Amino acid sequence: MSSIPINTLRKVIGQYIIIRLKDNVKYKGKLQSFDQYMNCHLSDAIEIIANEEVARYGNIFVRGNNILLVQLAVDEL
Amino acid sequence: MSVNKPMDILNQAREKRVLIRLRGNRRMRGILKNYDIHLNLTLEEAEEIASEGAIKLGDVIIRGDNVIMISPPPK
Repeated sequence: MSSIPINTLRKVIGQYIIIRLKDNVKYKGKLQSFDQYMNCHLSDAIEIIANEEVARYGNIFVRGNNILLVQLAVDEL
Repeated sequence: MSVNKPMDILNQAREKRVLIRLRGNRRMRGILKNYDIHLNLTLEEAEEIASEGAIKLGDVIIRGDNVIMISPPPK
């Protein structure tokens, strides 16, 4: 039986994910933590706009309300 | 839930110059003085990063619902 979404997200802490935002910007990075609002902390993050990497950040905080979807099990880079 | 919370990195970024992405394709930089659970932020020496260059704003309060992403400086 598959778990509820928040538990699925908990299972991928420490793994690389892609967060796609409502404004079509994507952040790929290693999920460090999240909270009940789905605010997320990613490390080794890259910002992707129109499939192009535009910036790299050591750590980012993403406010949960902007998230459209989370892609799981993505390659490191 | 994980033991660490995402807000922890904001606590560590206090008094440091952070980069903030806001709604409406805006980017800002400034020294993070404080924040709350809504992500309302108080910044010192804030500047908006526009295509024409940085526009100095001084001390500002940003309303949390505009915040998309915050990046502390690399260590």
